[in-house]
Formats: sequence, C-alpha cells, structure tokens
Amino acid sequence: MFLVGLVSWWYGKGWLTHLHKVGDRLLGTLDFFSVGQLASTLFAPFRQISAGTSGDASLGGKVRALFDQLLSRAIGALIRGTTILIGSIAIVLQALYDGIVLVLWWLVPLFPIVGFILMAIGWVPTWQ
Amino acid sequence: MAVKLFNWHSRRAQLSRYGRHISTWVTLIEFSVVLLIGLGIGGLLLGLSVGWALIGVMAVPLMVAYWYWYELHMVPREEDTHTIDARMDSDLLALLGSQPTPKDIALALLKVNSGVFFDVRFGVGGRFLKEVASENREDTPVIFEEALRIASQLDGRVSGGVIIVAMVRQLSARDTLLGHLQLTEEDLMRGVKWYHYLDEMIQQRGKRKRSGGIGRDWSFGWIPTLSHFGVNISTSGTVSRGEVRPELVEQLMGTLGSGGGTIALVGRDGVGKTELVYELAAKLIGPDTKTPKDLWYQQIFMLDASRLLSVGGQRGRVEQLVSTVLGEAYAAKNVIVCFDNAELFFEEGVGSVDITSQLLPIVEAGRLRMILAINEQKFLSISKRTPALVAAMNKVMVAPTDESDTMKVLEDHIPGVEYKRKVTYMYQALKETYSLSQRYVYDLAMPGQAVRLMEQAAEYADNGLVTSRSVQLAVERATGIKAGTADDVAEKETLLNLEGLLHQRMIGQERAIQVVSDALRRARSGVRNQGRPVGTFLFLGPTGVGKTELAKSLAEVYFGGEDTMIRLDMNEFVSADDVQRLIADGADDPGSLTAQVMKRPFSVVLLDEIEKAHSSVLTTLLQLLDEGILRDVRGREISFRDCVVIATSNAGADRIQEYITRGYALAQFEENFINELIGSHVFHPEFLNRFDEMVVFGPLTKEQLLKVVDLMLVGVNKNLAGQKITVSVSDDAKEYLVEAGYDPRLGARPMRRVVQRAVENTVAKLLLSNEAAPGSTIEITRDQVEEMLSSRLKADTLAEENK
Repeated sequence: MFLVGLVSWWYGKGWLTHLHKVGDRLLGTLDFFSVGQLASTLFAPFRQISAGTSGDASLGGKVRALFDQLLSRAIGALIRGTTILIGSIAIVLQALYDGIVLVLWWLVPLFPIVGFILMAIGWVPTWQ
Repeated sequence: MAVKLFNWHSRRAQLSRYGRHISTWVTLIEFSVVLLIGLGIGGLLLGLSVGWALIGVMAVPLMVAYWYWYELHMVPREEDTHTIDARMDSDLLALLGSQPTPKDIALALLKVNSGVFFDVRFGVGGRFLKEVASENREDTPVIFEEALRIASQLDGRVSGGVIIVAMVRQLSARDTLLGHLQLTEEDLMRGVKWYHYLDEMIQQRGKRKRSGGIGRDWSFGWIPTLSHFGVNISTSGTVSRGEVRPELVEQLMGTLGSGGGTIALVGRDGVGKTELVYELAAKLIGPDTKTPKDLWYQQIFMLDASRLLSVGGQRGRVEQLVSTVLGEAYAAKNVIVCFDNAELFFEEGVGSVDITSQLLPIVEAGRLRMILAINEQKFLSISKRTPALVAAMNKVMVAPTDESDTMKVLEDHIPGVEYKRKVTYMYQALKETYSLSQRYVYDLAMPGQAVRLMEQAAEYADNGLVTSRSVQLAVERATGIKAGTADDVAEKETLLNLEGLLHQRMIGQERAIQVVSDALRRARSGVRNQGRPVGTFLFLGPTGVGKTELAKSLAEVYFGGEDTMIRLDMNEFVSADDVQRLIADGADDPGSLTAQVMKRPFSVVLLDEIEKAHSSVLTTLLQLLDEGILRDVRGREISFRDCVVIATSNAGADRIQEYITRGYALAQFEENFINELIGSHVFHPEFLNRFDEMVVFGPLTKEQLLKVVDLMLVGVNKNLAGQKITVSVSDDAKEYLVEAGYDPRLGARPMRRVVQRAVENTVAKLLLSNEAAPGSTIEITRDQVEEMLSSRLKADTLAEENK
C-alpha cells in the first residue's frame, strides 16, 4: 500500500511539484540577474553618473561633458553586458541541470532494479 | 460516526498518518541516502559490483524523503471536500483514531503545535480539555460540525485552535471557564487567526522574495552620501502583516505613483508613521499587481537624523549635507527619501537645524519623491511659519489605532520581542496591555503606547511567561498605582479594617469614613466602574471638623503616605484664566493638577475649599468627576481613574451650626441641608450630581474632642520616645484643654495650638531644667495647664497693649 502510494505520487503529483519548484528557482535566478532590466538600461550612464553642464556652458565644457557621458555609458554598457552574459549562461546551465533532473526523476524508481541487474552482471567501471 | 463527516480511511488521512510515522525517521532516511551513495561509489571504486545495488537501493529512501518534504509533512487541504479529514491540519489528523472521543481529541491536541500554542497563550488547550471532555464518541460529531462551521467563517482550515474553540463551545460551563481565564469567545477566534498567520509566516520563511536583483542597483544611481546618512529600509522588511490601515499604504502608493511629490505623514508620536513607511517599502520592493509600475523596486532611504545632525559642527553643514543627499536621491532615480522624526529638521533657534529653505524649492518642483513623518504640533507650527511648504506637500493624517488594530500590532510585534527577551506572552497579557497602556502611558498614541508597555512587561515575566499580572506589575512599578485586584493578604486585611485604621487618626465622622472605605473596597475587589475615579466625594461642614484630616489619613493609610496626596487650594483658582493653570503642561508648570496626577496617578486628590473656585474651573472638573479623565493643554488624556477625589467646602457651615444649636442630630438634617445647598446655587446641580457621595461633617462633641486631645498626646509621646520620656495628662487637665481649645467657628483647629502651649511648652521647660530624666513620666495637672495658658494669655494681652 505504502509503496503503491509512493510510486503513484512519484509519477504524478511528485513530478509536478518538483516542476513547480524548478520553475520557481529559475524565476529566482532570472530575478537575481534581472536580465530584462539590465538590457533595457544597457546604454544608460553607469550608476547614473554623468557630468552636468549647468556650471560651464562653453564649447569646451560641453565637449568634456559629452565625453564624460559617453565614457559613463560605455562603462555601463560593458558591465551590464557582461552581467547579462554571465546571467544568461547561469540561467541556461541551471535550466539544463534541472531539465536533466526532471528526466532522471522518471528513472529513479527503476534504480533498484537496474542496480541489482548491474550487480548480477558483475560489471564495474575501470579507471585504467 | 458518519463517513461524510470524518472518513478515517480517506487518502488524506492515510497520508497524514504516513507523514507522522516518517517524521520520526526522516533524518535517518536522509542519512541513509548519503550513506548508500557513499558506500555504493566506494564499492565501485574498489571494483565491487555490489556498489550498483547500494546505489540502486538508495532510490527508495530518496523517494521517501522527497515524498515527506514535498507532501507528507503537511498534507495540503482538500478545499472542495467538506469533511473534517479534508480540512483538518494533517499533524492533528494523523493522531486521531477511527472513532475518536472528545477526550481522544484533547489528548491529540497536547501533541500538536496549534494545541500547545493555545495551551500556553490562552490557558485553554489539551491539558485542560482532557480533564473536562467526555469519553463518549457520540459527542464527537457535534464538535466536528462546529469546527467545520468555524472554519468556513475563517479560511477553511481546521487547525487545533478551531477544534479547541469548537470543544469550548460544547462545554456547559464555558462562560464560567472563559470568565475565569478573562477571555471571551471572540478572543479565542482572534487566537485562531493569529495562529494561522504565524504558521503561514513560518511556512513562507524559506521562500526567496524577488526584489529586482543586481540589475536593480546597476540600473540606478550611485548614492555614497545617502548610503552613509540613510538606511535602506527596503531590505529590512516589516513585522506588520499589512492588515492594519492597508488603505493608508495604498493611499501612499497612489500619491507617490501619480507623479511623485512629497508626502507629509502627520500624526501623534507612537501612532505608527514609521511603521507605515516600512510597510510601503516592503510593498515597493516586492511589488504586486496593485503597485503602480512606476514604483516597482523603488527603495526608501530613511535619513538617520542623529547621524546627520551629529556631523553638523559647522554652521550650515547639515543643510549642505541635506542638499547633497537629496541631489543624489534625485539622480539615482529609484530612491524615495524619508525624513523620520522630521520635526528635528525644522527647529528654530540657536544651534538648531532648519532645512525649510533647502526643502521648499525641491518640494515645490515635485520631481523627487519624499516622505516626511512629522508630529501634529510641529506640522501646525510649520504650516503657520511656511505655508508654501505645507501647501506643496500631500498631507496624510495617521490616526491612532482602535482596540482591534492595536491587538493586531501587538500580535505582529510579539515574535520579535519574544525572541529578544526569551519570554512568551499570554493573550491575556496583550489585552491587559491595551487597557492599561491606554490609561497610564502618556506622551504616545496607540499603538505605540501599547507596544511600549508590552516591552516593559517582559521585565516582570514569571518563569518566562508574560501574564496579565506581569503587565500590571510593569504599570505598578512605573506609576505606583495598584493595577490588579487585591490579592495580597496584608492588603486585604487593610481594606477590611480600613475604618479602624482611619479612626486611629480621625475621631468621629463615622459616615464619611464609611463611604470612603466602601469606595476603596469596591475599587480593589474589581467591582467598581473602571471608567470613573475610585471615588468622588464632597465633604461639607464647618472648618476644623476633620475634612482635610480624613483625606490625609486616607493618603497615609492606603496610598502609602501623606505625600501621595495632591492638594489644590481652590481659592487660587478664582478666575476663568486659572483653568489653564489647572491643566498646564508639566514642563511649564509642574504644580498643575494634570502634571501632578500624571506623575502620581494613584493618589488622593484634595480640592480644598471648592466653593471658591471659578465656575469655569468647576466646569473643567466635570469630566474628571464623571469619566475620570482630564485633558491637559497638549490634548493628552490624563487618567484620574485610580484617584480618590475629595472636594471640601465650608459652604453652609453657618446653617449646619444653626441646625446643631437647635438640637438636631447630623443624620436628621443632612438630607435637608444638601437640598438647601442645591437650592442655594452655590454649586450648579450638575456639578453636585457628579459626586458619588456628599458627606456632611458635623461639629465635634466634647467627648470626641477629649479623644482628639488623646490623639495629640499620642503624637507628643511619639516625639519624646527618643528621649525615653512619657507625658501623662490628668483627666481634668484634658477637660480644661478642651474648654480652652474649642471654638464653635474654628472647630478643633485651635486645639493643636492649645496642646502645644500647655503640654509641649511645659515638657520643654522641665527638660531644660533637668527636672525630667530619661525613663521618667511627666505628669501634667490641670493647675500646670491653667498656669501655662494664663501666662500666655497675659503675654498676648501685654503684646496687644504695647501695639
């Protein structure tokens, strides 16, 4: 009775619950790297640091402010771009891992049978 | 029992029992998973094929562990099924047999968290119910039906608490039980909701909240100064469950979301302005569908006033820092600045800080989102001084919470306080906290008043349990009042013998002593009206008959000393302007009535010669006499509900004298006299009606005056006890003293003077001439008294002639 309950749960509600948890984890990672937000502000000045021109409206001042802004935006784009890249890799790796676990989930109840068969065959991996 | 009510064989009931059995082994099961994998891999490394079998077998405990943590440790409710097994908490369900009796249920409650919660917090749980529950299984369906009915009124969940309420409702003596525990059914229902909330909070503990991630910070500005002088409260969370004043949080979001601007959160200290900002911060950092998109992941920085002001050594430095901080906040684009205790930034005078001029253009521009939490009075003074600033802000008033909301706030604060102080609060303590803080904690509004007292009560926990007595003790130690009912043997003895104790200082006036004693006994046994002073009395009669003496005696015998008496000579309150002095703030006039009672709420208040007070003053006192409350100039309600208020008056003294001269006894004319007094318009009838009792003091008889002399001699002997000398006055000498000391107009008042002259002076002379040695008794005769008084009379006459 207990084993029947365990196996039927494993292939039904158990797998679905795990799927939900995987989804939650992925959403958490997406939120942590906030790729969408980084992408939408990719070329914004880094930490909003930009030179003002109110104090010096000369051509030189304006050019310097423009240069500072460009630099700030370039740094921002570099850092955000890198983070987007790292985040994307992390998300893909996590999705892959969780995908494998979700597939393996279906095979786990078969482990005892497979284990005993392999023991009976007597094969063991060799490392030479 | 009908299966449609409780199906013991249902899948959920079965799973609950699995869960209960596995719970004791789950650690071992998890350990076996690790062990089998380790051994399996080890075996394979050693070339043993049995390793495969070990790894394969590991799948069984692994699956069991997953099943336990994903489902069995808390089997979800089946919302669409209306049986007890579908709705009951799985930990309790697992403990029930197929045909449980009420007693079986009570025993099961002993083993589940919800049952223990009620046992500890309310004193009603399995421990109590197992003693009174029946062992007849026929009684169980009624309990289950009631539980389902209760659950349907709440969230559908049948927890241990719901079962306890259902069981209590079936008890025939439930009213007695609840009365004994100082609880109502409503309290138990609140307890159920409280437990469900706490349990939910525990379930949510491990879940990660989304807060915008690292992109949130890297998309917005760099704020070094703001980070130094402010605290990002968005990350600290809130203890509030968000059920108290949710409409205000929504109003704040609405105002900030519709284009920004500055909000002035205005309310009395302790009203919860800061807590509201914390709630808002939590909403913005974990937004839901109601949160305007513009505000998603906006962070609230609370400026640390003390840190900011402490660096303001140079003149204008703080103002400069505030400008920098606000500039950074504006550039960052995701920051809302909150000035907590904003009144500190708008002080006038030397050495103080006023940022009005920095703030005004920013507030008027409306581009930076700001919140100013400020108290009412300061807001009013700012609006008077700089109306443009106030006009540019959105004012949100925060009112004190009512009882229900205050209880929620206390419930929300409890986990933190219990964790810090290592105590557990009973629900009765929370109720007592609300009612006592309302009366004795000044300077703060609800819920701050109650939270402060709740924290103080932790000091008086008994074996780690904070009960209503702990709260009473906290109040008693802080204010000197007696908050609980009399349970101390000595105090009970004092109350029962109050008349005798008062008579040790007072001669005669039996009725006055009786009414005062009765009032105190009513108060301390808990049967009095809690919404009024302990007793309000008007003592009427000629001077020197013991009106003031009774007030003093009462203060000494019961309130702990004559210094607990607050005495106001009402002849100092003869004009309408004197009302201000009566209710002045303690900082301006520590001698005002309200200031003195605030300091000593457990006292005798003596309003001497009340007839001389201005009618406006008497009108002000009406509320005091009626409700035991008087508002001071700052609008604070000062409680007189632990005071005995005694007003004395000489009004009609001549009329009393006349009655006595005509041979009437006091009891014969008292009622007539009071009616005459009402008719004479010395006092308004509505004023006189406010008193619990009006007592007429009659002149003292000769026999009573002899006893007064005896009392005075006891006082003289007490003073001489240090020198081991005793004074004895012969009976005829005492009679002479009475003759000499009694004045129909001044009553017994001249008596003290006469005793002083005749006895104390004689003793003083004998002592100085060494005629009295330690251990001796000085006998004073009538002749000595006569001589002493006549020589004094001569001296007085001579002095008069010389003038």
